[in-house]
Amino acid sequence: MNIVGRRNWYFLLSLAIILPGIISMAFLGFRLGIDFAGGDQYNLAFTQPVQASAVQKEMDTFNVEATAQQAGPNGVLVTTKPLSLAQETTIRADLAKKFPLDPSRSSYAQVGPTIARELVVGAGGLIVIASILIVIYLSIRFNYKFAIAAILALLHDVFVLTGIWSILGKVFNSPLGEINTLFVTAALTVIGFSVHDTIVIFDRIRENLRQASRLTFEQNVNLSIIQSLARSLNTSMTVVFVLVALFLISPTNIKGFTLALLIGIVSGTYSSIFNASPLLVVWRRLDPR
Amino acid sequence: MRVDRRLLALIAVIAVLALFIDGFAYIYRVTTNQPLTGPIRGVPTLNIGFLGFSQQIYVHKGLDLQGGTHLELEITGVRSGTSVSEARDIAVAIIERRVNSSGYAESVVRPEGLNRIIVELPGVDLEQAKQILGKTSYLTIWKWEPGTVDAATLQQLNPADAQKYPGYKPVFTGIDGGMITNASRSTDPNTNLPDVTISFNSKGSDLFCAFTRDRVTHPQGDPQNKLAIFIDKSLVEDANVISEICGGSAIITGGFTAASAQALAIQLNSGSLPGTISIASATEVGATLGATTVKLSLLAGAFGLSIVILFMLLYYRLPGVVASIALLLYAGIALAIFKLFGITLTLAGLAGFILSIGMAVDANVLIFERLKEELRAGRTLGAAMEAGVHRAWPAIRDSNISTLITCFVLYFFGAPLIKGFAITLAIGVGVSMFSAIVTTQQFLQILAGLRPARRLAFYGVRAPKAA
Repeated sequence: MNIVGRRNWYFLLSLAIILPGIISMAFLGFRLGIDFAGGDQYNLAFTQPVQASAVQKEMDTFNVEATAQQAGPNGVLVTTKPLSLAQETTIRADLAKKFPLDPSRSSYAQVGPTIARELVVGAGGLIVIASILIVIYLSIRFNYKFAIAAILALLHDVFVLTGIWSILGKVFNSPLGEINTLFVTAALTVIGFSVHDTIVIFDRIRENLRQASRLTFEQNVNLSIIQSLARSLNTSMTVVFVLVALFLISPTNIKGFTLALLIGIVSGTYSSIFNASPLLVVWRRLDPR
Repeated sequence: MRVDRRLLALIAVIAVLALFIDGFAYIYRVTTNQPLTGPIRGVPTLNIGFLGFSQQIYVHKGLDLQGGTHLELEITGVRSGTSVSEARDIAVAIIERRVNSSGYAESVVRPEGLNRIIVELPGVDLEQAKQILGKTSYLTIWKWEPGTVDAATLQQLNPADAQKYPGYKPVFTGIDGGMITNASRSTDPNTNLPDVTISFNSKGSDLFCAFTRDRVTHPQGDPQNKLAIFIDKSLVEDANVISEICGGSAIITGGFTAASAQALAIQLNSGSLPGTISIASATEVGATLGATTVKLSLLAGAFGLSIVILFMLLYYRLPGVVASIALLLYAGIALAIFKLFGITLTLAGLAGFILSIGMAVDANVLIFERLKEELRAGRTLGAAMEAGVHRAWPAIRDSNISTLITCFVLYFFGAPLIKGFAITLAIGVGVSMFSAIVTTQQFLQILAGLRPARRLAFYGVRAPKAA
């Protein structure tokens, strides 16, 4: 199997997935959850089926920029602009009067604008800080070329994930594609996993390079990928099993989270096999030192 | 490498300890004569007298798992003379008192950042939470002096209250709620009627002492003998001063019911809030929703664990058995750590834990793949096992350290929700390194020593032709 030889096809496949995402991010942006946009969110659960349109109509009377979306037959997700305490009390009392609300299965969240702003800056900062520290560690353990290839693969995964999220949230208008704190957590996990995966293959390359052999660098990298393939697929598969289980049974409020992890882990496995190590070969050709 | 008896003993001790802590709730039930199922009374606590060890052992569930209200409060408009962080700490103390006097168990009030306060109230909905926090009010103590009320005072106080006694005006004594360290409902021992006891700090105590000493000189019935307590603009108490009060505490009596005394105590406590408190963010989770989430997560965890074990058994055969035992041990140890150190499990935390199962398996997969390679290359079982562990180690180390770096960044810079995730993932990674390296290796060595376990088919490898 020659993975490194067909590297351009694999790069192309990555590009084909990332490009629509980047276009969507650039022109449509994201569907921001209240964590980032500020506002109030009601996750309403009812004792019998209720149409989102009925809730929407009721909420429109309050004039609070409300949007109501169906979340399962007995559930409606309502998002509004930031409400005052008094407004919130009035709305809640009204909803409880007009609809068969089940408070013990409902949830509610409010995020003020200051906190939202901090989170946006914080989330971006976390990714940058984590990446820098990982580059430093890998530069010590391997060398800077390995470190940068690992970070490129990591960025690949971040772009795949955020791109798909932008498309889900803006093109398909799905609540799954909401950017919230849980999504950031998922993205950070994916980063950790992606690097984890890449390092295992890099470790093999490092080991094979140390042994005197007649193989070229390119052959060596390919051999290392093949040797690590069983491990890469097996490990990812076990995690994917767990995540598919989680995704199927998770309630609406965390479905997006498990889906993000699932996409990210699959992308992470792909990028460590088909992008990170072939990148080392490309670099070697451009700069054969 | 041979089987290391000391390491084996260590594994056994850790396993027994973990099992003890995981099952501690049952031991607690037995020792306190409770049935083994149903809701538990009290908090399972482990006391070892001669070590001076006392620790509550149970899974601390986050609000998203047990239902309740999480508030992030922001303090603004801090009165001059107080720094923002001082104001924050005073507010924390006051809110804590208010929450505790309302009797909500397991609630958390803690400062966050420079001007924020986190309040977590399990099993409380947002409406109740708002009532507990109440409105912020400002307490002041005034005296009556002959004269007419000026316009400035009329701005500060209700005109009707300020002009209660014709020919007298209220004059601020300089004592305000900031000097009250505590107020609580009490009972008058003589009349058995409810009253309110307040305690002052030293400055308040001195001022109050001087003020009452001065008031006593006026005859009873004279407004100048009275002490007027205003909360915000309203006169709530207008009492006669019978003797000077210098002990640092005072009792307010007069026509209270138990409820109104309680309400005044709470108001007095809140009267010293040194600024305005507003809600920066609030989350409310219904109790049933939380319980459903827990059930689903546990189900997913159990399901994931079973699939992983099944996969390991089918793919790696005998080493798969070793990995499965190591994995169960891993799950047991991690749970014990969560219980023992009171790590709060949130939804994100559970996700981190479930993810770490995947990473724990990875270490074993790495070792077993190497083991297979070495066996195919014709090494003996013992040598192959040693080489497998030895050569898989750098990859396990580097990949786990980079995960720990991510956890570290998340923990120190992340929002509270992200912190929970980082902690459980880090614990998971740490324990998995122990289980993969120490446990798996020792178990493999035991296998290598057993004659029936030496058939290569048990390891999913055909005997090499050339060997």
